[in-house]
Amino acid sequence: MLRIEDLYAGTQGQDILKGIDLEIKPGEVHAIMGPNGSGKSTLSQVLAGNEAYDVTSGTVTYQGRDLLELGADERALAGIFLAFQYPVEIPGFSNEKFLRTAVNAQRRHRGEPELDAFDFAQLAKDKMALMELDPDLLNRSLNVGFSGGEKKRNECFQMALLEPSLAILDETDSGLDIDALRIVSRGVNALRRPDRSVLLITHYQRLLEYIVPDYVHVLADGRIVRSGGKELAAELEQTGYGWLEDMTAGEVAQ
Amino acid sequence: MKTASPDKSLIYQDVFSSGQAAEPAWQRYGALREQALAHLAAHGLETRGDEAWVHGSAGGLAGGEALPVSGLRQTTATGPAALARSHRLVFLNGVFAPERSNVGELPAGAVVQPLSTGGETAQLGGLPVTEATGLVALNALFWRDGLRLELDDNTVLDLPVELHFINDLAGKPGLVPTRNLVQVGAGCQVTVIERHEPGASKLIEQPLTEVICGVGSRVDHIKLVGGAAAGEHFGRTQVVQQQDSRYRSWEIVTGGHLARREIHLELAGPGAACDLNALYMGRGRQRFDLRTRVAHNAPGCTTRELYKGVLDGEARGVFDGLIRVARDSQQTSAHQTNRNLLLSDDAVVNSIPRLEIYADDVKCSHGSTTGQLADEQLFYLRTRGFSPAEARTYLAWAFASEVI
Ligand SMILES: Nc1ncnc2c1ncn2[C@@H]1O[C@H](COP(=O)(O)OP(=O)(O)OP(=O)(O)O)[C@@H](O)[C@H]1O
Ligand SMILES: [Mg+2]
Repeated sequence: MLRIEDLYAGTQGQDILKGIDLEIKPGEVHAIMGPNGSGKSTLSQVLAGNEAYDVTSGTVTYQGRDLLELGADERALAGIFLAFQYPVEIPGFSNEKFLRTAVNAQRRHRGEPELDAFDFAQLAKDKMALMELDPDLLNRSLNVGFSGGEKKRNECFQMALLEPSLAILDETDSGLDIDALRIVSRGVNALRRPDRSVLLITHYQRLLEYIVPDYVHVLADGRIVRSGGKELAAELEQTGYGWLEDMTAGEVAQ
Repeated sequence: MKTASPDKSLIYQDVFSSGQAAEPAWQRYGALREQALAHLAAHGLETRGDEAWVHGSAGGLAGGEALPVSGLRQTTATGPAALARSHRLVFLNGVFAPERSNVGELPAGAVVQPLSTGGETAQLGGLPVTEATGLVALNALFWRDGLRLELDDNTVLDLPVELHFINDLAGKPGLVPTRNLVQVGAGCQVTVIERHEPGASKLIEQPLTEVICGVGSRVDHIKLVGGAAAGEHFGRTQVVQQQDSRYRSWEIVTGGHLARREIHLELAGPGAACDLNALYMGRGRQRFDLRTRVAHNAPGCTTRELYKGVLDGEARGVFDGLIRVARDSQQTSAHQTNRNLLLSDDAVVNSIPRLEIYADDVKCSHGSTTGQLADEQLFYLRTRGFSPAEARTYLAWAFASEVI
C-alpha cells in the first residue's frame, strides 16, 4: 500500500523528518506515537501533499506509484485521506456543499455519475447517524463555530463518505470525550477491509484499545526510533518518553 | 473654470445647445437642463486633480469623445434574461423599448412608467447633489428616459420593478445617460432591480437614480452591472430617507471595462436605517470604483455597510466610503466594512473607509481588510479532491457569499 524510504522533509531549509522508513501493507493499521514536536503532523502533511513542506530526499511509493509526483488533489482521488489535527474553517462555504463537491470529485474520477443534492442527502444521513453528528452541522459553514469534538467527528464523517484506501488520522482522538472516542473508533473500524490501511497518529493508548493496531512506531526528532506490536503502546503509557533522552545521549556518546 | 487643460465640458455644452431644438427628449424638464448647462459653464467637468477622481478613474469621460447618442437604434442585443414575474421596463440605448417591456397590472396608487411619458414631475432632480457635480450635470443635460416609479402612501408592490438597460452602438463611441426616479410615500414597500450591461468598448453608460423613501417605507434596491462587454459604467444613486424608513442596497459589479458606482445617501428623519452591500468581482484589466457617502442628519439612525471585492488578474478596485454623523445626530449606529480578496499578485485594491463624527453619543466602527486566499484553506480543499482551480473558485465564492 505505502512504502516510505529514507524520507527527509522540512521547511525553510530545516529538516523536520530526518530519514523515515515505514511500510504499510494492505489491511494493516499502524499507529505512530511520539513526543510533541517530533514530526508526526509533518509526516501526515507531507503524505497528503502539503506544498509548504519540501521533501529533500527519499521516496514514497503508494500503490506502486511515486506519491511525491502527485498533487494533493490527485492523492485524494487516488484514495489517500488525511483527518487533520486542526481542521480548517471556511466561512461562507456550507459543509453540505463542501462534502457533496468532495464526494462528486471522487465519483467523477471513478467515472460514476455525480450525486445531486437529494441523493447526497440520503447518503449523508446514514453516515451522519454512524458518527452521531447533528444534521444541522450540514447547513453550517465548514467547521466554523464547530466545537473541537464536532470538528474531529466531521473529519471522520468525511472519511466515511470518501471511503479512502489509506486513511491517515492525525490525533483525531485528542479532545474527544469517551462517547465520541467510541463513535470515532466505530467509524474507523467500519472502514477496515483487507484492501484498506490506516495510519493513526495518537498520544493515547486508549484509542488503540478501540482500534487495535498491527504495529506501533515511536517517532522522535524526525525518525522512527522504535517499532513494535500493540503492547508497545501500553509500555509507553507506563514509561513515557524519558528513555528517549538516554538513547540520544547514548548515541552522542558513541 | 478650474481646469487647466482644455475643458471637455465645452464640447458637451455645444452638443446640447445645437441639438436641443431637434431633440424632443431634451426639451422636457427645461429648468433642470438649463441649470445643468449653467453648472457646466461655470464649473466644467471634474478633472483628474479633483476630489471626485482622486482614487478613481474618469475613463473615457476624460477624453470627451463619447457624445450622447441620439435615439433608439436597431439592436440584436438581448440583454440579461428577464425575471419570470416582474414589472419590467427595457431601455435600448437610453430610450424606452415598449415592445420588450411588460409592466403588467399595478395596484391603485402606483405609477410605473417611462419618464418620457406623462407630465413632468416636480421631484425630479430635487435631491441635493454633492461631489462630482459636473458628472451629474452631464446626466441632467442629456438623459432621454428612465423609470418613473411613484407610490402613494401605503402602496405595496409585490412584484419587483425590473429595469434592463441594454446598449449597442455597433462599436461606435457614445454616451448613454439615463435617469430614474423612485418616489415612495409613507408605509410603502417596493423592490427595484437595475440591470446594466455596459456594452462594447468606448460606450459609456451613465445611469442616475434618485430615491425618496417616505416615512416608514421599505425600499430594496438591487443594481447589477454585468455582461462580458468592455464598455464603461458611471452609475449613481441618490437617496433621501425620511423617518423610520429602511433602504437596502445591493450592488453587484462584475461587468464593464471600468465601472464606477456611487451612493449618496441622506438619513434625514429619525430612526431611518440603511443597509448597503456590494460585491465587485474583477479580472483581466477591469477597474471598479465603489463610493459611498452617507450623511446621518437625524438622531437614532442606523447604517450598516458591507462592501466586498474579489480581484484577479490585473484588476483594480477602489472602495471609498464616508459616513458623516452631524452634531445633533445622537444615538447613531454606523458600521462600515470593506473586505477584499486578491487572487493574483497583480491585482490591486485601494480602500479608504472613513468616519466623520460630530455627535458624541454614537456607536460607530469601520474596518478594511485586504488579503489573499489562505494556503491552509486551499490545501484542505485539495486533500478532499478539489483541483487547484476548483478550490480557488469555491473559496472566492465563499468569501463573496456573505454579501449575496
Ligand atoms: N510549517 C512549519 N513551519 C515551521 N516549523 C514547523 C512547521 N511545521 C512544523 N514545524 C516544526 O516542526 C516540528 C514538528 O512539528 P509537528 O507538528 O510535525 O509535530 P508533532 O509531532 O505533530 O507534534 P504534536 O504532538 O504537538 O502534534 C515542530 O518543532 C514544529 O514547530
Ligand atoms: Mg501534531
